[in-house]
Amino acid sequence: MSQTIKRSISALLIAGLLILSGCDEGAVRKLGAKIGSRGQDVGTAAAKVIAELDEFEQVDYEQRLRVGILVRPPAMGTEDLPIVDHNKLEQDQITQREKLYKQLAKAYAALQTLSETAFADQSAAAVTELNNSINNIKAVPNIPVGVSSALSGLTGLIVDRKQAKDIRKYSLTLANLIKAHRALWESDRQIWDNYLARIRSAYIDQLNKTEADRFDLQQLRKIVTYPYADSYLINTYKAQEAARLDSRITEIKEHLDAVDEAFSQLEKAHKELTEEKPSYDDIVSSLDRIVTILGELKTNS
Amino acid sequence: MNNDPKKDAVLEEIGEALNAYESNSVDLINRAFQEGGPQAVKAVEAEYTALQHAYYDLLNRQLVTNSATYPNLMDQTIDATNQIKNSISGLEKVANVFKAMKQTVDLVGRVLVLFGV
Repeated sequence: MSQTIKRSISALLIAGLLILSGCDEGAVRKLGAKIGSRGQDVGTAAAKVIAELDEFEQVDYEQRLRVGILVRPPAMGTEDLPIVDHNKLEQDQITQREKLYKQLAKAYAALQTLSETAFADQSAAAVTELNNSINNIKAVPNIPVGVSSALSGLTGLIVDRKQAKDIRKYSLTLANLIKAHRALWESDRQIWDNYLARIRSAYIDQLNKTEADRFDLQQLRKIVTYPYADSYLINTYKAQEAARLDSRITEIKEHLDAVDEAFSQLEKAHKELTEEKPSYDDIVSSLDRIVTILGELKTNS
Repeated sequence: MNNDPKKDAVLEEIGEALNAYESNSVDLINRAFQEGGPQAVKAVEAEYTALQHAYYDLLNRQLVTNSATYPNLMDQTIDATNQIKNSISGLEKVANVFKAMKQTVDLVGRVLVLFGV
């Protein structure tokens, strides 16, 4: 009788332990998966903004060529075009950055897989199947049901703990990594701002001074959407062009800001997860903020 | 930006020179044409192009400098990815070990049946 009571208490303790540890580790896994998913979004968005900056070079080239033709005196003729070079940002550097942020997304994809996969269930199921196989051998005595389920439960528990421990460990690795990624992002920002300002000035400042005889009012009327008299059309067109370019530049700058803010929220989430008693609400709030920021980025583009 | 103040000052000066040219390019080119014909216009344009090259050269140097500040970032990111992937393989191995043991036990079971034990 006392043996039966002992066994029952042991079984209850194991079950309790499994339930308690399952709660915490389950939460770590859920958060790890969420961080993994958001981290991928941030890496992908960062690579996309770099590609946007790269593509803008072609717009700049075409604009400068056009305005370079317009500012020449008509007496020079139109046979030879002004020499306009591609003002390229170093391609190696651009490619390197795109690859870097794509690789960052891959690291987070791995974290998501590590967090989402139910390794404990897989191991427990494998142990149960092993027990069943042993029980199927008639020459060997059956493993008692209690022992069999405790074995698979404990295996699951050990695997669960190892998985949660690894998620925390790699969250710390990624936390340090994201800090460096964000620092690089912020270091580059002034370059992008100068680059965009230069593109604007090279086109808009010259277009604004272009003389009226370079424009065909009939053609302009088709492009300018405002209902103004012919005498205002040229200046209205120039204002429209400036607004078009400014709108695109503002959009790219908003994307750069959004990625910076997303990096910062990701860093915050990591930091919180590595705390001894993490606030899950704070982590979820940071991760939700990333969804909002990058969601706005997707909506605007 | 890990700025070198001298480089920044030069960048700003070149930027201002470019802005000044762009705000006055029509007048400058017209004057050049009146004074020296098409060749003079081309010379002014070439000066402008050279200034742009200088400006972009400085931007590109800053990109290189920034990359050099974090020389191992790519390797560290790849390394982190591989470490996480190794952890996944390690956790998968636990189930695989039991699966392999089950196959062995199944085999033993079949052998025992075969020999009528």
